[in-house]
Parts: sequence; structure tokens; C-alpha cells
Amino acid sequence: MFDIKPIFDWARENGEVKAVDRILVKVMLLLIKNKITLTAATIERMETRMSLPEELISAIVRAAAEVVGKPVPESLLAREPSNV
Amino acid sequence: MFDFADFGYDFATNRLVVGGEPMVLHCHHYNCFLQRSIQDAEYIDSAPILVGAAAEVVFAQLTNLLARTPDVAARKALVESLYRACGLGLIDLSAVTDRGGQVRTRSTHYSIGWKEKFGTSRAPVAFFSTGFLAGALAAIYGLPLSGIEARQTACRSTGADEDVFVLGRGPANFTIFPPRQNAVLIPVGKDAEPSTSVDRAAITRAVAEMPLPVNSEGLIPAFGVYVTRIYANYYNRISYAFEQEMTALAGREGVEVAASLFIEAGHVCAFFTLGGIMVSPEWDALTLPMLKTREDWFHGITAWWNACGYGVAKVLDVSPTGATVRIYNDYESVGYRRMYGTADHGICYLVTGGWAGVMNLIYLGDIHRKPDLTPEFYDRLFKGGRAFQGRMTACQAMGDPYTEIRAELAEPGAGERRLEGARASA
Repeated sequence: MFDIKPIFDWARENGEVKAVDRILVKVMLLLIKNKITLTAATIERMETRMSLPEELISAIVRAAAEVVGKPVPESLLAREPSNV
Repeated sequence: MFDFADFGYDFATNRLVVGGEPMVLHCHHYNCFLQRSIQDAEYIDSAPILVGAAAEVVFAQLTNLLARTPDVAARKALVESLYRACGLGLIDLSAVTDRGGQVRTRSTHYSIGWKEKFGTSRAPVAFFSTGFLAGALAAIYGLPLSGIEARQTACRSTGADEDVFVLGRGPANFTIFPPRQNAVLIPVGKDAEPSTSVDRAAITRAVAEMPLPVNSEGLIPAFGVYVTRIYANYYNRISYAFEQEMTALAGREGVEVAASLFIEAGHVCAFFTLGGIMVSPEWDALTLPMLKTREDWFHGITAWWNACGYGVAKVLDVSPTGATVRIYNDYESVGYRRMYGTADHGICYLVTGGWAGVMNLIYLGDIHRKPDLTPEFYDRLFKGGRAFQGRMTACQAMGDPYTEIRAELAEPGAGERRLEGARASA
């Protein structure tokens, strides 16, 4: 399963103050479509990996790169082997 | 020629009303940040909102201001000088007729400010000026706003040599908002405030009457920023129309995300505009001699804040760990109620972020040492765990007799970060 939290952490570290909120605004439509509630607070407290649809992951990665102004590091995009 | 000095600042309410429209001071950092926050939601067609909001207030104001000026050339001259006095840049309306026309300029606040703050843009950004021109065309020729088309076809923010605006007749290609109710102001209370050596009333009076020099480009470079004096109800309309769109899409969650960014816009305003004031020669001349403590700095900047057209702010308490500010007739509340009636949640985002930002500058940012107000310093001050958080403890738009902001120092535990928010519901 892809771990989305490091993407938000990277954006928070490398982007502006409200980078996470800007990402959430950008992907809000997909969050609604997939009936997923994600806020800066829930991301902050996220301890377990959250299963997200592929299109949402792609949108978050794209939005993070846009907000920070540089591509998301490859190391954060690597996926763990999975038999699912 | 238009001159703000012809319209008296109302020191009883700390408002400057011109042609029925309250005018407030902000800077290019706030203006561009707020606009970008709205445009981030690409699934919302925000351009008609941004243009329509400007057209709404400009049309209303000019319909008043031009009522006793029948001559078209004189009307155009007044509009051009108003635009310049606001710090919006330069416009030449000589090629505009009652059918529309083209306006070309090398100086537009939003185009220049955007490029300076965010770098080159992918698309034109001067929605405010587009709406201004739409409202102006309608008012100059006595046309219905709903019959005006306006668009920007070139923008300096994209790397173009000039901005080009095209005006024409046809169904409006921007939002026509429902008429607003009359403004309802609440009497200012007699609140006890802590003693200070700062003569706030004298500072407010001096600052409100201080001319803002406009340069040859029609811009107002002051306090390290480009200042504008524009319409309170432009900011209100774009913020609350956007919030409504987000609510329709995502309910409470949409409001909270929007609120977070609007509060951040308040931090941006505090840091760049109010911070810029506190390191300026004007501050040193007018205010610094009265300041002995950091609490005095808070009173000092409150005096300046009261000269910006934002309403009457009173300091109920201030200490190194927190402050309570009570505001009568804050422009967000007054405007919200004119547009949407009584709010069911706190909507005073600018003041929530703004006063927390001021506390950050004074108590954590050592503004008295005159630091450079760089984006890096901003990040250090607002991104860290230890910072002041603002929250609305009362909101005039919700029916309270005033708006009140409590800014408190938050010390997050290990691994936690600062999460700032507004009062969510009644």
C-alpha cells in the first residue's frame, strides 16, 4: 500500500506554511468523489497508512509538486512490495 | 481629480466610506495570496466571482460618485484618478466608448505584485482590474452592469510587455451578485483597556490623515510593500462567495479548508503590512518614541490598524502569553451581513489570523529589532510549533455585539504542529 503521509510531510517541510491545506483544496473534488475526509489535522495525527484510490494519490502527488514548486522526490514515490 | 482627502475618515467607527463603499488598506502580499487561495480550487470557476466582485463594488461606488458629473470626459478623468489613488496602477480610458474598447497599460497592481510575490504566472491575474473596468464602463455610460463583457487578454505577470483589457457589450461574463442590504453598524462600547503610554487616538488620527504617495506608475510603494486602498466588500465578496461554493461542494470540510487559508491570509497581512509598518521610518517618527514595553508595541500597532478602515479595535488585555482584541464593526462582519445576513459560523478570518500574526511579530519575532521581513523569516515565524494561535470568541456577523479575537501562545508537544482555527459554529 502506498503511504501518502510522507508526501504531505515533504510538502510541509519544503513548501509554504499552509502547503497541506493548499494541497487539500486542490484535490477536494476527488476527496468528495471518493467519500474521504482528509484534513490537515487528520493527516498530522495519521499513524496508520490510509488506503487511497490511485487517482487520488496521483492528484495529491501532482498537487504537492505544484505547491512546493519542485517534483516530489522519487524516494517518496517508491511503493513497498505488496501481494494485494 | 479624485482625492481620498476629500472624504473624511470616520474616527467614531474607523471607516473610510467613499461613494457608499468602505475602503481598506492592504498590500500586494495579502491581495495576491487571497486570490491564489481561491484559484487553487481549480474545479470552481472563480474568474467570474473575482471579476464580478470588483465590478459590483466599483459600479455601486461610481454610480454615486459620478452622479453630479454629466460630462463623459470628466467622468473618465475621475475614474482614472480614482484607480490611481487606490494604488491600482494606471489606466487610460480615452479609447473606450459606450460600446467598449481596449485598455492597455504597463502598470497594474495585481500583475506587478503577483510576479513579484509568486514569479511568472501561467495566465492573466488582474481580475480585480478587469472587474473595475467593467464597473467603470457601466457607470460612465449609465449602462446596466449585466450588459457588460470584460476580459484580460494579456498580463505582465505572464511575461507580456503590458496588460490588455477588452471591454464590450453583451451578457455579462462575470457573476452579477444579488443586491446588498444597507450596512448596519453597532455602537462602540466603553470597554476598559489596560493603561499604556501610547496615545493611540493621536496616532490613529495622524496615520488616517497621512497621504499615501502614489508613484508615476500609479502604485503605492510603502512599508516595503505595494499598498492598495480598495474595497472592503471586494475582499468580502470573493471570500464568502468562494466559501459558499466550497460549502456546496464539500459541506463543513470545505468551509474548514477555506477558513484555514483565509486565516493564513491574515498572517500574511500581519507579517508584511503591519510588520512593514513597524520597521518603517514613519513608525519610528510617529510611534516609537511612545513605546517602552512590548505591550506598548501592541497598542501602537493597534493604533495603526485603527487607521486602516478595518473597524474599531480595542485591546482588552495583552501579555507575553496572549491578547484579547475586541473589534466593533469589523469590515468582514459588516460586509457579510449586508450580503448574506446572519452567519451560522465565525467568518472573521482576516482578524483571526491578523492579531495572531501581530503577537508572533512582537513576542516571537522581536520586531523591535527591525528584522528583514523576508519569506524565510515568515516561514520561521509561522511554520514552527511555538506560535500564537488566533480564535474567534465572538463574531458580529453571527449576531454578537462585537467581534473578539483571542490570540494565545501555543506550545505543541513533541511531534505536534500548530493547528489554528476559527470558531466553527454558533
